[in-house]
Order: sequence, then structure tokens, then C-alpha cells
Amino acid sequence: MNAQAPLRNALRTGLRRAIRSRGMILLLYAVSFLSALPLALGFRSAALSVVGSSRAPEVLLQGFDLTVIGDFLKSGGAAVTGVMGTVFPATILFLLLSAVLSGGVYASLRSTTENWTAASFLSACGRYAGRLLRLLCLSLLMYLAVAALLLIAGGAIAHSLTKDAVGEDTVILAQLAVGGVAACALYFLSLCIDYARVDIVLRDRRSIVQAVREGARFLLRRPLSGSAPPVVGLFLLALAAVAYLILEDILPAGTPGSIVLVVLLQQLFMLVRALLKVLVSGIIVAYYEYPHAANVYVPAWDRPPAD
Amino acid sequence: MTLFARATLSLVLGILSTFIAPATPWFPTPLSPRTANYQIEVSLDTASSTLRGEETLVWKNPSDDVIQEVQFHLYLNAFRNASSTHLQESNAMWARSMHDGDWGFIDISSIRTEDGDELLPRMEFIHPDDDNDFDRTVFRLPLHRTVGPRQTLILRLSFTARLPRLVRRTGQDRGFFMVAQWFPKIGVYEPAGMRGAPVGRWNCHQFHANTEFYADFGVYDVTITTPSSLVVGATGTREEVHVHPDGTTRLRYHAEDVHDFAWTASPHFQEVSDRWRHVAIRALMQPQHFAQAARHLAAAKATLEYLDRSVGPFPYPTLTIVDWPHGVTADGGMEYPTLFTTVSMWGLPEGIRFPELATVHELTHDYFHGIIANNEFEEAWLDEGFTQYFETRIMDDSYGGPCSVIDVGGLRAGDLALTRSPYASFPNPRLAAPATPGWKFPAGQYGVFTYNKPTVVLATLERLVGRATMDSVMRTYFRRWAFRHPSGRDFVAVASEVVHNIHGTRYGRDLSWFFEQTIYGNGVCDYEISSLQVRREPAAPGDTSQQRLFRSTIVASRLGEVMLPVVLRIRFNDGSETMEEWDGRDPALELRYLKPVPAVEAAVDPDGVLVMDVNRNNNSKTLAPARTVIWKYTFKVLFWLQNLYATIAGIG
Repeated sequence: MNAQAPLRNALRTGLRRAIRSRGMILLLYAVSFLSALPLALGFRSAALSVVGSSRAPEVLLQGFDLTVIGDFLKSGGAAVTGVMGTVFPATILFLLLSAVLSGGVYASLRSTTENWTAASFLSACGRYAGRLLRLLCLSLLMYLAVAALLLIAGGAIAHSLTKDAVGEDTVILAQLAVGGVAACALYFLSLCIDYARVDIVLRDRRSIVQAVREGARFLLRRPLSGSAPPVVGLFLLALAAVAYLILEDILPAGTPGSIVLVVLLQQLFMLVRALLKVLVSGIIVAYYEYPHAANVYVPAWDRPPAD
Repeated sequence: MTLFARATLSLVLGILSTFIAPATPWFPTPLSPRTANYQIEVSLDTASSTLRGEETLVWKNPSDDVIQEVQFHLYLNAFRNASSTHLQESNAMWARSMHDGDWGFIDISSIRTEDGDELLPRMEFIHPDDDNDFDRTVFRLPLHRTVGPRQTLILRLSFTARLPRLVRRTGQDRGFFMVAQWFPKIGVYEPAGMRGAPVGRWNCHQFHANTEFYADFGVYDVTITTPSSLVVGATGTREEVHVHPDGTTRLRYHAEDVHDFAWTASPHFQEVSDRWRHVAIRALMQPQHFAQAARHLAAAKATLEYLDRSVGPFPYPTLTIVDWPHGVTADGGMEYPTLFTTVSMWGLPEGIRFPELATVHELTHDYFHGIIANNEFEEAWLDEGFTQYFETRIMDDSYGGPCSVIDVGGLRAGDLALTRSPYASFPNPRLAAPATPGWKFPAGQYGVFTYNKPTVVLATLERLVGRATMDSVMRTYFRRWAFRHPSGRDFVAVASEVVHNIHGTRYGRDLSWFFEQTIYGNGVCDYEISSLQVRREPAAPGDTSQQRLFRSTIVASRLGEVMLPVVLRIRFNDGSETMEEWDGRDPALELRYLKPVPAVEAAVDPDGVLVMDVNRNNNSKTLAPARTVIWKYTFKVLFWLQNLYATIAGIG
């Protein structure tokens, strides 16, 4: 069996299942929007209290202005930074929420699921929440441990390569190279966690350690094809980001109409991100489900058995 | 051949060569009093980073006083150990990172008169600024014979110096040598009346963490011997080059009417030459920064052109630009007469103009301090503030005001805005006056009060009196004080005279009211529109007309101590405007209008004349604030948060 066949099948299947799950895409987008909205509105309140009825900030309609931003931060920075100080705890909460929702996402993208419904989605979220939250805790510890090791080893390697360097180009390139290797290692770890999540949902695995082991084993058997789905997702995300930046640059700054257009563009971009998340998840699930050659025993004879 | 023999041979050849081939004079007549003239032969041992030098100093008594002692700077002793005043005052990481082998020093082994009398036993270290007995950066030398008024003293000094690890703009690092403040340097004797001196006095401060330098003008003839593998750049013009068979090269440099001599050497320099009118420009670039040479040269020529027009002619025939190697740029650039160091970074995009900014700044210093040689110890604002002020003008005029320094990816910042920001956002802008002597600033505050505040003060003055008048002030100041040592009061006198000549008494009899508040005082400038209220007037009894009047009341306040004349603009509902002038003396001003239309907006200083106003956001009020910008940034914050969550969720 061609090693690429499962991947091609997974791409097609994942795309099909993502299209089938339009409701889930909208739900995920709505969750990210509603999670960010309170903080954004808090920022608005703080900004209004500082700006008051001054006309100075109007120059910001045309673009960034250091004088206005600097004076604004000095006179009212405490209010704004107070609000923005809640970003970190809010992000942690969203991480926990996302872990719970991933159970519903993967369950909805299984081959056994016919039509997506909000009820089945939420039910799956509840079913796998405990295990996925424990997996999140374990994964954070693993990230910390691996990152610490990489930082120490990478730092030592970078230092030994560059300590006598005369030019910063050598230093920068060495740091980029070491950083790139470290990023690949962390990326590989994140893929293992992804497949572990899929394993928990698809195999209804109880042990998260076993799930991590299975995820790692799955990835190690097919490192290139196994890491392909997220790469496809990243590539498509980069395309979307470039398109967004180009379109945003084209739109004239400063008028209420153009601001509305930019906001619509921003939210369209977030919808695309939700779609890509579901697409990549669908591909991963389909790839994990696929009956891979290594998993199937096919006996072979030189000649057919005698009747 | 031993090192000693090599050094002696080089020394003898160097001395002979000065007799054989005198330097080509730069100027037909001296531009400065040429008070302190140096002839120095020095050799550099790269293995030990050691300099061995023989110095002949010809010093002319500039006063009518009888001089009984002289005072010298030994700046390199600031890096002798952790007990020096310079290190004690430094809170920086670099000070804590110095180890054995990193330290530098300068030792004098002989001070002889022209008659051969040895004066070294008379040498005594002093510390005029503090009680640190361990500081060795200043010494006094009682003379064997007095020096009468306008008479000449000749001293011959032998010295050895070791360059420290390059942490404070002088030293060595991975084969790169920046040799600055490296020789015994006589202090400045200020006759009575100069810079407000009541009697004649030596002005010779210790080398502090927050101070730079002060010296007299003169002629420098310096012969440098280094390994032939090094590319050398120095103050002045290169007169001779001799390559020796022992692997060393001797170079002779000549500079006239300068007050310092610095040089640099590195095996890695790549040279680019250019020219601006009579000035030969030489850029010594690090290999990885070679592509940025064009940026530095363009910035240098733009600066020379601008300052020639706005201040005065650049007199010297040469200019050397030195590119720092990576890892030693923490202190930014540094200026010396006809040579300055600048900053580059590999891969820096065109829209981030830090290289240009550093070049513009350091080259402008060749005017303010290089030519107008203020006392940097006592009045650093006179060169740092002036240099920074012209840097903002040159950058904003040359590269576009709002985006002259940063213009990349929608992020924009102009130089004047970037300079104003640290001062305006400083937690306590009343901490010190810019005229404070450098070593008396609280730790970490020197920069804001000598660079940033004086810049916004000068920018405010420019906008008050007009650019044409400001340029006239600067040209007069340059003409009158070039190659001399002005004080801040001298500049105030010039500014007052010129402004009075052009504008009469419009800005007072003189400008002392302005400078006393902004430079010699520590007050801040902050004007505000405190309230804008509109009330519809009830109809008077018996008034049958349908017209109603509106009573608009505007209150403007002066929140800071600095009183400056300002303009207020009141806009009414029918589009009409009224301009009012306020001298700013009272803490508040109330304006009342009774009109058929209400006022809708009030602004104090609507044209941004008062650059030094620390909060421009309170300068206006409107009855119909547009919330569009708030919504724009609210949605930006929403978008960034959504992306942050999506990214984190993707990783987790």
C-alpha cells in the first residue's frame, strides 16, 4: 500500500467532514469571539474614562501616533493596564475551555458521526472533559521540561558556536538555527499531544499516559506524513494572514465606513481560523482512523492452500 | 626583535619623521587660541592591549594670572578598579561584569621640563568632586617655575596605558580597538570672567559615570605604530604611512584646532570613501554591516548640508565614521573631533533608521562640543540638548516628520516624538533641572534631563519665535562661540540679543524668563482645557423674538509651573472660530461668550507650539467627542485577543 494513500485519503475525508460540520465551525468562532469580548469592552471603558472629551485621540484614526499613545498611557495607563492585566488569566481560562471543547471537536469528526448537532457535540465535550484536562496538565509539564532542556542545551550550543564571533550575523544565524531545532522538537511534542487527544476520543482511552504513548508511537512510525496535516493548516493560515494584511492595507484608514470594513475583515479572518482548526482536526482524525498497513496482518502463501 | 626594541625603533623613527616632513597646515590662520598642543608618539601592543607613549605638551597660559600648578586628566584610570568614582557611580551591569584582565589604566613614568628637570615626584592625585581617595582620574602638578601671563609651558610625559575591555566607548574587544581619552590631558584653566568664573581657576573634574569631557583647543601631531594587519582611523588627516619590515606600520596624523584626539584600529574594517564639498569622508565598516555604509554616508552628507545652512560651516577637511562591532553598541555612538562612532545592525530594514539617527547625532556633536566646546561636566545640556535638538530637525526634515525613525509595518515614529516621549512620560519630570552638573543627577536620570528635556525646550522656543529666528540665533551663537568655551548664560545672552533684534520686546526684554523656568528650573509645562460648558440663556421678560442666546464658558488651566504664552481656539456650532491669547501667568483663565450659537470645542495650544507640554491629551475638549477611534481600537484589541486565544489553544 502506498504510504501517501492514507494521507491523501485523510485530506479528502477531513475536508468533507469539516464541510459537514459548519455548525461546529460557527460555534468555535462564537466561543472565541465571546471569550475576547468582555476584555475588549473593558478596554473600551478604560479608554473612554481616560480620553474623556479630548479631541487628541482623533489623530489615531489616521494611524499610529506616538505622542498621543504615550500621553494617553501616562495619564491613564493604570486603568488600561489594569484591564489588560487580566489577559493572562483569561488566556488560561480559554486554554482550559479549549481543551474541553476539543473532545467535542474530535468526536464530531469521527467516521461514525453522521450529522453534527450541538447536543452531541456538548455531550462529547462532557464525556471526555476530565481526561482531556488531565492531558492538558500533563502536556504543560512536558512542555516545560522539554523547553527547559532545550534552553539549556541550545544556549550552550549557541554560546559555543558564537563566543568568538566578530559579526552579529553569525550570532543571529546560529541562534536561529538552534532555535529552529528547538522549535521542531517542541512542535513534534505538540503533535504527540494532538494524536494523544485523538486517541483518547477515538479509542475511548482511559489512561492519559497510554494515550500519550500511543500518540507518540503513531507519530514515530510515520513522522513526515503524521506531521503533514498541521503543516497544511499552517500554510493555509499564512495565506489567509497575507490576504488579510493586503486587504487591510488597501482599505483607507480613518472613516467610520472603512473601520466597519476592517472589523468585518478581521472577523472573517477569525472564521477562517476556526474553519482551519476544524479542517486540520478532521484530517488528523481521519488519518488516525485509517487502517494503516502496519496495523493489518495479511498472511501470504506461495501457492493457494489445498482444498 | 624584542617588543621594547621594536617600540624604541618606532619611537625614534617617529620623532625623526616629524622633523623630516612637517604636516600640511589645514588653515592659513588659527581658528582657535591653540592653548593645548600635543605631539604624541604611541605604539600599540595588541597582545596585551597596551599603549606606550611619549607626549610633548605645549601649553599656553590663556590668562593674566601667574600659574603655579597644572592639572591633568587621566581618564583611563576610571577603569583601573572598582574603587574609582566612575565605577562606584555606575549601577550598570557592565560595571559588575568587569573581571581580572578587563581593567584598564594609565600610568605616567616621567614628567620632564624642557630643561630636563623631572617633576614626577611632585605629582599628586586629587578628587575635586568627592571624597574618594581611590579615584586616580585627576592629578595636580606643582611647577618648578611659574608660568607668567600668556607664557608657554612645555612638558614631556612618558606614559603606559592599558585599554580596558570595551564597555564604555574606549577599550578593546575581539581585536577591535577604540582608543579614546588615552593620553595625559591637561585640564582647562578658566581665567576670571570666563563662564562666570569669579577668579582664575582650574576646571578639571573627575571622570564620573554621568560626565563626558572638557578640554582646550590646539594642534595635535600624533604618530601611531600598530601591527600592519590593522586598519587605522583617527582624528585628523593622515600625513604619512611607513610600513616596517618587522610587521608594524607607523602612521602620522595631524589635526588643527581640535580639543581631543581619538583613534581606532581593527583588522576587520572595510573602508568606503566619499566626499562632501571640501570634506573627505571615510567610513570604516564592520564586514557584516558593509551594506549599510551607504546609509551612514547619506546621513552624514545630509547632516553637513543641514548644519552648514542652519548653524555654520564645517571647517575641517576630514571626517571618519567608525562602525562599532557587534556586542559593544550598548552605549550607542560617541563623538570626537572629525571622528565618530556609529551604530549598525545586520539585516536592519530601511524603515528602521537607527543607523542614520546615530550618525546624524554624533556628527552634529562635532558642532556642539567639537567646535562650540562647552564644559560637558558642568553643562552637558549645552551639547547633548543642542545636538539632540538638531538631530530631531535633521531626521524629521530629511526622512519625514511622523515616520523619520521608524516606518515599518504600520508602526511609525518620528524623532521629535521619540525624543519627547521619555521626558513626557517620565514618572517625575520635576526631578532635576537640565542645568544641573552631570555628576549630580540622580542615578539613571542624566539622559532625560540633558538630552530630552533641553530638546523639547529648544523646540518650543523655535515654535514660539519662528524657525528663521531660531536659525539666526544658532548662526550667531556659532559665529561668536566657535572654538571657545561658552556657558549656558552665554547662549541665553545670544538668544536674547537676536530675538530682541528681530522681534523687539514681543518676547520680553530678554529671554531669561524662558530659560530660568525651563533650563535652570525644574518646573513642567502642562496646559489644559478644564471645562467647556454651554447653557441656553432664558428669554428676557418681554422679549418676543425667537432668537435664543447661548452662554459658553471655557476654563483653561495651567497645571505646571512653567508659564508660557499660549493661544486658545474656540470653535462654534456654525463653524466660526475665535482665537484668544493668554500669557499663562495666572493658574487659570475663564472665557465667556454670549452668542446665538454654542461653542462646541475649545483647544489650548492647538498648533502644538509647546512641544514641552507633558500632556497633550488634555489640551482640548469637545461637546461631541467622536468615539470612532475608541471603537477602532476596541475592535483591534478584540482581534488581537481572539488571535492570542486561537494560537494558545492550537499549541495547548
